[in-house]
This record gives sequence, C-alpha cells and structure tokens, in this order.
Amino acid sequence: MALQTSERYLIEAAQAGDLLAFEALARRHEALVYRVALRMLNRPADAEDATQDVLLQAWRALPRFRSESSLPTWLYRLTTNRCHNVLRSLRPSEPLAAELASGQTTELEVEQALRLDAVKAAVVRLTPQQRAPFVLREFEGLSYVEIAEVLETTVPAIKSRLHRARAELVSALSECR
Amino acid sequence: MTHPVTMQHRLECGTELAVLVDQVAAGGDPKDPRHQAACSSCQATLEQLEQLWSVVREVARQDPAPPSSLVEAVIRRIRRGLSPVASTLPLEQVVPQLVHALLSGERGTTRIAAAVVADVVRAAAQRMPAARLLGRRGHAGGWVSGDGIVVEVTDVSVRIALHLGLRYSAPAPEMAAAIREGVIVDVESMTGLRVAAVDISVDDVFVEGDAREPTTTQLFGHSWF
Repeated sequence: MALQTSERYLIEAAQAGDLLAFEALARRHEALVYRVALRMLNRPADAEDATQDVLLQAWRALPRFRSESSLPTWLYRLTTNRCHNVLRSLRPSEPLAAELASGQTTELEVEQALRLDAVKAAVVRLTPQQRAPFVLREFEGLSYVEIAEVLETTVPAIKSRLHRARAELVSALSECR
Repeated sequence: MTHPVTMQHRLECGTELAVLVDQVAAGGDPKDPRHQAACSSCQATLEQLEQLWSVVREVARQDPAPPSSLVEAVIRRIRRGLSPVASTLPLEQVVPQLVHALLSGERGTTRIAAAVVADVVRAAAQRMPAARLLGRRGHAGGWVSGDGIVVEVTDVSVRIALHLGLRYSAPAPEMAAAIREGVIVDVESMTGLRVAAVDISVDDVFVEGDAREPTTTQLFGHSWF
C-alpha cells in the first residue's frame, strides 16, 4: 500500500497556494462531501453542485483553516452550511422530490429499493435543523461530540435534535408501511 | 406498526416509544432492563423498530460516489478564478505577485513586491556553491515563489523562509547561518525593508556533479491520488 502524503503537509502546501496539493486533498475528501450533500438534499444533481461549491469554498477559505479541528470536521461544517443555504433558497412550494430507484429487476430488489427510497425521502422531510445531525450520526457515524463540533453547538442540543429526528423518521416510515 | 408514532406516544406498559427508538438507533442498553426483559409489549415494539431501522442502516451502508470529473471541474473553476480577467476580485487577492511591502515617506510611498524580495533572496542563496534552492514546498501563509521562497510581508518588515539542498559533507548549521546573513544584508540594503527572520529548512543533500533537480514527484510523492 502506498504511503499517503501527510494531510498536514498537503494542507500547508494548499494554504500556500499549491493547487496540486489542494487537488489531492479534494480527491481524498470529495466522497465525504458528496455523501452528506446527497443525503441532505436527496438529488444527485443538487448534491454535485453543492459538492463543487463546498470544494471551491474550501480552496478560498483554506488559508484561514486552523488545525484545531480536523479537515473532515471542517468539511462537514462547510457542507452542512452549504446544504442549509440551498434548502433556505428553495421556496416552500417546491419540496425536494425523492429520486426514484431504477435498475432493479426482481420484485424483491424493487421492494428493497423502495424501502431505501422511503428512508431517504423521510430524511428529506426532516427539518434542516434535525436533518444535519441525523445524517452525520446515522449515515456518517460521527459521535455526538463530533457532531456538536461540526454544527457548532452543544452535545445536549445534538442529542435532543437527534431524539426528535429519529422519532419523526420512525413516524414517517411506519405511516408509509 | 399500525399507529403513527409520535414523540408522546407511549406503549401500553407506559414506556415512551421514542426512548425505544433511541435504544435501537444508538444500539445502547435499555433504560429499564428488568422491565424490558419481562414486557412483551416492549419486546414486540423493539422487534418492529429493529426491522424498520435495518433499512436506515442499509442506506448508511450505501456509498454513493460523486462523478469522477467533479474535482477536475472544481480545479478548472479555480484556475478560471485565478485569471484576473475572469475575476471580479481585487487583483491582490488573485495575483500573488502583487503582494507588496509598503515604505511610507513624506513625499510618497514605495511599494516593493514580494516577488522582488524573493529575487534578492534567490541571488543571495545562490552565491553559496554548496547550497541549492529546492522546489516549492508547503508553507502556511505568505507569498511563495515558484522555487519555494516564502515571503511574508508586514508593512516594512519581511519574514523569509526557504528550503535548501546542501552538498554532501557541507556543515548545515554554518551554511544556514552564512546564507541567512547574506540574505539579511542583501534584502535590507537593496529594498530598505527590515528582515524579521530567515527560516531555513535543509531538506536534501546532493553530491557534486549530481545534476538531479528535485522534481515535483520527488517532493510530493506518487501516492496522493
């Protein structure tokens, strides 16, 4: 396995204006940004746009990045902020439609795909306040402490938002059964 | 589950449903293990919740990947942004060569570009046959020349950093001190700026006649992507 160039080294080079170093960082972390954006927005095209915007913003803001937080934590923060802005800019009359599953052949596969779609759609119906902690905890596996750091709030606040989000989700999923 | 679940919803036994949801989602221990072990209502609900939550876990296992061209598109946008024609940003922000030190006098100001300081530094460093400037290295803050000289400008003083390769057997501390001295004297006399510090990093050795120049690959390795 190839030895990875240290993250700190790449960050320092990118902060000094090295685009090649930034490209390496972007390739390392683009999947993280895209995954969160897709779960927050539930439309691949929107997630791609958001990912591009986040990476662009990361390049611009990198000189101000201080390594008190890790780069993934910082990127999670940029991504959730970006998604919140996207969601704010949507008029209430245009709710996000779920992407429908395609490419499944057997009945079982279709059924399972529909179940997964139901979860994704239910996540998108959570308020943005609940959605970000839910995505970071249940899909990204972050700890409460990490989520609090990303969303710049307290652990009890995160626990309370997650508690509501989970209950909402269970409610939505049991309704559509 | 037949009833829609709400936050306040309680099971027949009085257990709050949301508490069971948290237990299933977080994979934690029951709040009241003795009650739960004996309560059929709790157990049945937990089973249903487990089933429901397994779909959430399945979504978590999916690893959607962005299109392979996404980073390229970002890099293209950054490059476009770096071109002053395409940008509405102030020139200083997009063209680093325009970072200046500022000497204010009664009869006008003198601006000295960081690139000019780097030129003087380069000439001073190159007077030492036992030293070679190494290519661009990472550095937090400051303007960086193509060959890795970092110039941090704060009005009338500059802080300089450079990366060197030394000839095998050359004494590093003495070489660094000599180069530092040469850089300070040249920059201060030619530009009028005060040199706050010269940070030197010795990152390579070479043997005489070895024409090899450090390449980007050598400096950064292959393993980024």
